[in-house]
Amino acid sequence: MCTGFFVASVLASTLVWCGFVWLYQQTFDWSEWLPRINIVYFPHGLRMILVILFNSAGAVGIALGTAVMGADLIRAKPALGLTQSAVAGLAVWLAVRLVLKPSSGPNTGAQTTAGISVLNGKSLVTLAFASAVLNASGHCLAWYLFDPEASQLETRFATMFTGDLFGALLLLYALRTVLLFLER
Amino acid sequence: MSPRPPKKEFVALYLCYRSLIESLKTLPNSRQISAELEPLLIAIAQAWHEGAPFPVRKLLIKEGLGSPATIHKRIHQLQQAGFVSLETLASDARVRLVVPSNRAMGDLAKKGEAVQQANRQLNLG
Repeated sequence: MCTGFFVASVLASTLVWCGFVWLYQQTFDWSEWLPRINIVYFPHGLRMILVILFNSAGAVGIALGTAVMGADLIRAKPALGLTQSAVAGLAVWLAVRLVLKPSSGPNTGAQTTAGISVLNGKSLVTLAFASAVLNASGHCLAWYLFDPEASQLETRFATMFTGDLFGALLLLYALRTVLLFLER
Repeated sequence: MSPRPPKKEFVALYLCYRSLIESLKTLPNSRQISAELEPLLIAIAQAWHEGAPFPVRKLLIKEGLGSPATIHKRIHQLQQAGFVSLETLASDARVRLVVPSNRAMGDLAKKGEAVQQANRQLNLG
């Protein structure tokens, strides 16, 4: 991938992510159980879409966008804020590489692009599940390592996992409904 | 002067976008039936379309659809999913016919439209 396209993809992902999260925070403020943990988190579906479309540039864009939106946490607890921002992008990127493996043939390194051909409805659901597990685990590991005051890690994991999973599925099914409606 | 070759990044991005759109359309939902039930539904719809819907007993021994126990289980699954219903024959209350529901016919009609659209695109190409 050429550098110009990569940078443009990162910027586009960052802008889309920040815009969507801002809008989400304005409308779904009630769904926040603890800071950075929501009962239903639609933006997780957007994470999947950005990484599927832009691959690693999408993941970097999400990490940057999360850092921008969580600047207050980074100022207060830099290690925790930066690690959780990185996890937000990396978790979905890693899940895409794990779930969307090409069924056969040598690994050329461009796994996501090659794996896109095996993308279907079921693999999207699997991807939502895998990325929710990785994202919640990564966030909890960061709390464990960098925030000694953080308690109830297992409850945080369960809430974040279900929030990400249901949020992603709701967003994907909403998009599906819109697509099928537009095709009528 | 030869035209500039298309940037492969944009081609890849478009292919990812198309793949994502198609995947979204095939997200699992309760209106779909599994692939193993489809041959049975086709057989039921075909017989009904020809004006001679299958009696349950005849369908259970139809070759190529599995054992009677398997067919019985699948008829039940199709019935539960709302794709077929059992109707009693007017002249003989002991005979129960398996008929496709409106939902099943709508589903098959959609598939027919998709085939027609694909044919049209092939002819255009």
